[in-house]
Amino acid sequence: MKNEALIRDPVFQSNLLLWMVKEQPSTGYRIRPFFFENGFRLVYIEQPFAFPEEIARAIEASTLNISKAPEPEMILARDTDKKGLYFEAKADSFTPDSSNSKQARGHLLACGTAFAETLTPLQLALLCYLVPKDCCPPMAECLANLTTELQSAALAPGPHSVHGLEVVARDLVYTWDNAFKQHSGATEDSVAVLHELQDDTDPSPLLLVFSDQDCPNQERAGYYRRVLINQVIAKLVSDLNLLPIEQTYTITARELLQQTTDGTLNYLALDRQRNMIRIVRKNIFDRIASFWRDKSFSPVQLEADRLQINFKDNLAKGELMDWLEDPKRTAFTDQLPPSDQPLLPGIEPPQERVT
Amino acid sequence: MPNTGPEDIKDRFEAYRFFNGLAVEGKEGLDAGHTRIPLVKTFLLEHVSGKSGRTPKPPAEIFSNLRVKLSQIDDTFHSVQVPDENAQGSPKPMVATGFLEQYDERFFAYYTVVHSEDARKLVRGWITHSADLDSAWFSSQLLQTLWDRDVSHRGDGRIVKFTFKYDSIFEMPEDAVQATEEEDDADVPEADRDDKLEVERTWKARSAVSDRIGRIKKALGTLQQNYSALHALFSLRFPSRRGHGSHDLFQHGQVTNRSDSFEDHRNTVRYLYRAYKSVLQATEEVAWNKVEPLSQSKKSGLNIKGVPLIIRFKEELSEATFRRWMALAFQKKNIFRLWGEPIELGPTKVHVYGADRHLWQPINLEFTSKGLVAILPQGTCGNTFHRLVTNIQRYVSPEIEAWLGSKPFQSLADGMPSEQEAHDEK
Repeated sequence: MKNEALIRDPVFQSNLLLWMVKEQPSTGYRIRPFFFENGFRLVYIEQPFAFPEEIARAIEASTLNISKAPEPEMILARDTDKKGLYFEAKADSFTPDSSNSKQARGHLLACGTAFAETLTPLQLALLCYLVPKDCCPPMAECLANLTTELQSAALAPGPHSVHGLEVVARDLVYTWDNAFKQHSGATEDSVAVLHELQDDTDPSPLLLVFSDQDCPNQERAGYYRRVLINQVIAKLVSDLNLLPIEQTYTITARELLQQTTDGTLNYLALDRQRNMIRIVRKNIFDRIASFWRDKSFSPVQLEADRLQINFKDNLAKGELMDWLEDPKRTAFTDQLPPSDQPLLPGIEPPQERVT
Repeated sequence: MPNTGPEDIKDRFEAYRFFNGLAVEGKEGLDAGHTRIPLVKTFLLEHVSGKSGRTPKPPAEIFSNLRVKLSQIDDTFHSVQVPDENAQGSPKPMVATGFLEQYDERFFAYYTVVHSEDARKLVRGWITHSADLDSAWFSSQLLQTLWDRDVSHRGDGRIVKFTFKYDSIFEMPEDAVQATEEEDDADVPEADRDDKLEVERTWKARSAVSDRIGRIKKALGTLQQNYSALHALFSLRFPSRRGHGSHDLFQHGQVTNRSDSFEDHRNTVRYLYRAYKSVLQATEEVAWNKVEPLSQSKKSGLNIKGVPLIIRFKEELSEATFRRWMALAFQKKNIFRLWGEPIELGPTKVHVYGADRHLWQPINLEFTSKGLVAILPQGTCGNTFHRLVTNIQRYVSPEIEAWLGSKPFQSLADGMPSEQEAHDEK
């Protein structure tokens, strides 16, 4: 994928941010752990912000269009001075007229007095919008306008900053503004976080959060879903290899995804949860069940959303595992299943996301 | 396979006396320049279930699944019998091959005088067929640390011995990828005591260096700078603290007794067990990086996917070598014991969201011509990291830098018990 396109890819952006807070060596790092080096650690990922009662009421009473549960990419905390960083990543800047402004207003309010109330003992937050570097000036202007607008409505938005991504020679450079410098104590204006970029190589690190979305590179649109599917298959292959003979393994698509996403599935938007569950159900469970349906003494049963496997002996186990461990034979597709097909009756519906 | 252990013993000390008699005879053989009988050897085994979220199992349960009969002698000491594979008919008669001591819930020591080749084959079979057992993996980096902090201080006049093994994956024949483990010549003949370099095949670099500690201390660093294969330490000899004899420690957790005392041998094994255990604990503390959430009432995505293991090769692999590595690393019975579907992101970059074939737990891997990044789930046994590092140095790049999170891999041994503890252990 062209590196310029990658810096606009939301999946790449959010994974980059997560790697920047992941503990890594000061030399030899995969992605420069800039936030880790500056004392920040991850406390929330893709979790909707819960407003205190009074502010939630004020939002409801306001004539402005404001998200009541804005969902940041991640929230970081620094224990030493109880400061927080609240991140949102976007492919482009937008204007106050944009539909994105509803969420942006919510983010701004989340970083005001609401932040310390909800996330005690943290005290001060800074909203950080990450966009491609050339989008930083219009993004800053938009956030300033939204701040004025909220203040005019007697609401209390918090401070904000704008961060940029750009490719400079063979480096991916992460930049920030004065607001971030003051809040974090960083003395530089930018830092190269990824080095030795090459035209023929996708510089993405291993994905830490997964997506049902198309990869912007149309030549491999299903790449992110392939990663999601491979993660789930790896978990299935591991669990089933450890499964004793004549013992039943039973699991739903949701349970598998909860395990492979470290429990973050429940915090995702409902349509994203639904798509991810649909991929596991349709592309994996259905494929396994249909392949084994006509086999005599099939160890596989699929009842509604629940996959059940029971090996009667080692031969049956060996047969299924040989198949499941061979990507050429399983050939799980990474196409997004049609969303116009309702989930079959009895299939576990997506739960209300946790807020 | 003949019986190689006393039958119907009353207590563990009878086994000790049996091993002592063999140790004396073995040492006399070594002194005479040839081994008349197989040497006493110990295999340090880890019960991986203990720390990986699975329910720990008692040794009898683990080994019964491997067709091994354990007979309890005391609370933590068992005799070991296995089917005699050389016997005709079925069921095959059981033969005594040694003793198993449970050091704690997580570690076992298997003592045996079966010939090295047969003993290694037996233990390798146990580990291959049980997701509950793994070797204690003394990576080259850990062996180097044991040399730096312990063995090199045992007296400049004492004799020490290193063996180095580097099997280039690029030059390795296809069939050797599966077979190479079978060929570990763990007990290198004593005749290799001189400093001669032994290169058996073009893809196998083999060196054995034996000399006085003082002389090796002066030369080893320079030799390693000039010949990277000398970073791939495969075994290290520990001169006995009793003043004579020694104990050879191999990468796969085998310790061979070259002293005339089984008690001295067992004390050395116990010392190495404590050293390895402390390294594993340090590994897991770093890898799991547990952080308390800000609010106990809310769950969060803290420390998602754990702390990465990052390995950088001192010398970048050629594209051809990289491609060869990728072609071989995910075959069904590969030496790295990995499973997954490689996703190519460039000519020398591959991502795999796969599984560790040995423990059967997910592992995410990034391979490039410059190094490797591994992300293992919370609760991953520390020895998985050490097995990866061991295999990279043995087959891909002998000279590496490695970190777990921000910590240099070698610093995981910082909390290792001091060398004096070997002496103090009773």
